[in-house]
Amino acid sequence: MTPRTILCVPLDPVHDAGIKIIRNALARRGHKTVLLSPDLSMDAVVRRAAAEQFDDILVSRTLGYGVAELLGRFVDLLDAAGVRARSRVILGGKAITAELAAELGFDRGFDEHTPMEDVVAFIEGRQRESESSIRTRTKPDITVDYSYTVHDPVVEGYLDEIVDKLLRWSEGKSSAGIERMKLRRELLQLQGKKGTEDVERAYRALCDPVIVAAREAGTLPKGVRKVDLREADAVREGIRTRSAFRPVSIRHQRSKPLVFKFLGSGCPMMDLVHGKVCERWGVDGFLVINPSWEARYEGLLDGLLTHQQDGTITSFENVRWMREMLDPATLLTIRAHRGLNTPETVLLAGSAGAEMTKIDLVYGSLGAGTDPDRLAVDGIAAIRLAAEFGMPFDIPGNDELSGVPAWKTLAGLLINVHLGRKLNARPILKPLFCYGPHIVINGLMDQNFVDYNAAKIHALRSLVDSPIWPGEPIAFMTQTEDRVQSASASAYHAALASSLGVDAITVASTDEAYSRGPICLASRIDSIQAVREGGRFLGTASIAPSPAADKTTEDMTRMIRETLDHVRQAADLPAAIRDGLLGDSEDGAYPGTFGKGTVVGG
Amino acid sequence: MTILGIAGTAKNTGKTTTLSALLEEGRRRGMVPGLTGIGYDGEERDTVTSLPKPRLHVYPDMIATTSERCIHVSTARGEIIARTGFRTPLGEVLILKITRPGLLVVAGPNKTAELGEVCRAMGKAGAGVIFVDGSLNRIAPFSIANAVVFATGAARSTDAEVVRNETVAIERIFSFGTLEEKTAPASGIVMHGSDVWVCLARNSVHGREEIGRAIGMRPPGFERMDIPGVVTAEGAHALSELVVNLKLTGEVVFDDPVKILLGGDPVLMERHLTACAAAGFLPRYRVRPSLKGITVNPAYPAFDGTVYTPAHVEARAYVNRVRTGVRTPVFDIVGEGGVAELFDLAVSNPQSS
Repeated sequence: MTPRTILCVPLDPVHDAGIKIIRNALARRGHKTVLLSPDLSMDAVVRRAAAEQFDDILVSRTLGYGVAELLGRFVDLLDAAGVRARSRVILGGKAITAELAAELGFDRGFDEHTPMEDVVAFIEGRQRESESSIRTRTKPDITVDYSYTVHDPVVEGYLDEIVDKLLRWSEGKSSAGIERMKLRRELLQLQGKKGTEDVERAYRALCDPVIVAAREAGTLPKGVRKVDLREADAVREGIRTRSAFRPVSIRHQRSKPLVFKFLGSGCPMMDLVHGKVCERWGVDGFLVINPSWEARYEGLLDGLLTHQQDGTITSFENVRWMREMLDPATLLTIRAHRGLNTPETVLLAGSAGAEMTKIDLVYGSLGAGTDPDRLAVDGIAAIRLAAEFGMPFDIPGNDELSGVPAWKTLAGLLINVHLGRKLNARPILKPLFCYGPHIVINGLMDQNFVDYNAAKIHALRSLVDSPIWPGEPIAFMTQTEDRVQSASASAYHAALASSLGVDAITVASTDEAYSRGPICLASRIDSIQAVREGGRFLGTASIAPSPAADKTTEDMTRMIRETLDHVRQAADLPAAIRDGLLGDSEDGAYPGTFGKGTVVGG
Repeated sequence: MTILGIAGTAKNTGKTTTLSALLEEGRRRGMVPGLTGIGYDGEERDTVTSLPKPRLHVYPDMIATTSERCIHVSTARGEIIARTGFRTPLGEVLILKITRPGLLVVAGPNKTAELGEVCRAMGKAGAGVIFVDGSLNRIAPFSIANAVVFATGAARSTDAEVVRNETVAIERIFSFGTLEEKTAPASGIVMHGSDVWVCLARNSVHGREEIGRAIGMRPPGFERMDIPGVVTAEGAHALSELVVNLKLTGEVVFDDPVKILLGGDPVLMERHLTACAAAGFLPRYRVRPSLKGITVNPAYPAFDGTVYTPAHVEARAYVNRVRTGVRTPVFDIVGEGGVAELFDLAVSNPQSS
């Protein structure tokens, strides 16, 4: 590399720290730099630039009122003085964009978020790595470092007993959901070829009338319509030309946790636009949430479909659309465990290229409304499919939001993890970082929001070597409709998660709980920004829970063990759920009824 | 080949509106002009104020420039007939032949020399008249133009008197004559005497010190001073003082009027040059684009310290005040029209003054 001669110009009466940092970085690389003082007139700067031979002139200036004209005149003076013919002129400062730099006549513009290596790379004429970093980042796998070893032999014995009993119970059992999944697999293989009609007919025979009407006569449920291909083309074209070339770095000096956001506006086009903006803001992945009514019907719709209400419809085309349009390194998770289409949802997600899915046999039967028997047989089939596709599945402990005590929820998560491992799948523990009803009623977080959440993580870690992804979202029920409060709450919980070294977090938008409609993009960015600031603040430091957290961890671990002991004594997992061993009506949890009596065989 | 520059005295003075109206007039007349710029224009929203901006519509067979990144956000389509190799923050400048009408985000080279090359390439591709879109208050690249239209208005100042005085000064600066013979630009200040000349100050920005030193070293029979590059306001002031005090006569030759405008406040620059002229030391240019028209935009982005909002002054009174004492035709393109007349002046007779 030939050292370059660089004139550093702080065209700003006050702020010259940025250009000094850049100058030092360039000097360390062996370039010859000349730093002017910030009090020189523009004429004086141009005279200096004209009098000597500089390869590059770096100008630092924060954009403010009238500054554009000032910078325009500066570039003009350099041009008229013949300097532009021999020197590149580069502008850096707050609010500087490539477009503004072009308009002003500079060769390049950098804002305050530009990584130093980009500036140095440009000066040295090298490929600017971060421009393509989102395309070249590798797809993360948060399960790869975990063995799923159960550390406590007593707990391992309980889990073996529970899972073995469950698998024996499920042998020979099936459901319309499983049968449809098999038919759907045939339909995907046939792709409209000979025999499709017969398979489709068999599929419809297993669907509820609402779904049959849509598949047979094209009468879509109220509020659902097909996306016009022109709409999709317009969005595709818009996305293609606005690629997220430089994602913001959310994690400061850390590789974990990955940051996930929900999508599920109902409209896959809107989801995608939100997704692309979030990608640019550094989000690593998305969880797609389906409509609540979809859970109640046997059968799924086909096509690229938009829905007027909350929840994006689960169809092969919708999942494929998202998968194809999001950056290849962005992770996509499709929720499967609610309702009557769990195995088929995993099949569609896997076939369409989604990276992960979401299955919790316990929460799906307690807080999410599906009959325990039905979800048990469907869930097992779904986990087998997840294993087949190599898709990790997360296990959200959202039953805690119904009022279920944390130790019962965590016991449920451990059962799912153990089941997943027995079926060669890759499960992910998803305890809540929340201010749930049981915690509120019993004053368990009166002292702070750190100890109890930390205790959950410590308790799980003491029991099993598994990835942990607090959700869902973090800070659930601590957030209000005040955007600053909500964003701050997300940031503090994210910082705690980071300090605890968990693998991923799900972050709400600041209007998530109160939007009364689709989430707005600004609210998404609010919370990402706040989490990023939290990450920057914490850096590689840690949050130290108070000594009380140790006692809570100990109690929590003991109660998880006791819960598992109770569950193992039940006839089987569905029976344990019905008996309230993992959350009862007093807690606020009721076994679901969707699909009751629909399990066949066994 | 005619090169017409649309320059502005500030951002948001109506350059794009003027250019857009001229393009539409050209289309109406069956012309297929070339279109380039010295920065970036045609975007949906202003890069500083975020207010909506007028857009640039292009039509088939026009020759236009854009860049690698801008081509994708344009609705117009074209065949790339040349890659210039000139880099901008938005990618390489590309020369297109438009095949499908639509909106074009124009991006052009950011240096005068490159603009000259691009215009020549566009001319070879068949563009008889090339519109050069200005950018903010930048004017340096217009030194290669044959003709210039200046856009000014409330974004420059909501005080019509301020804008009028500046416009009068710009007009006066453009009114000084040119040398009869064509000369190459000098590499420093040259002092011509009766039979010798002295070349000084191999610099291209001249202030009080350089001007004073040059005049102090004028040779016997001094009759002409060539000042290439930019003269600062202080330099012009020193020049006028010395010319008057030393009773110098003859000619002072600048590269072009753009270099004078770049020196500082046009009102002061014009005052210094007029003082020289009055003393018998006549300002001249090597080359000079013709000033063909002034457009005045009564709208402006009002800034409350936080956000910009669209605002406008009372159009008729404002525009009429700016017209007072200005001989160059003044147009309020949106409020009063007159684009056909401006087109005739600027495009049909670009060389006439």
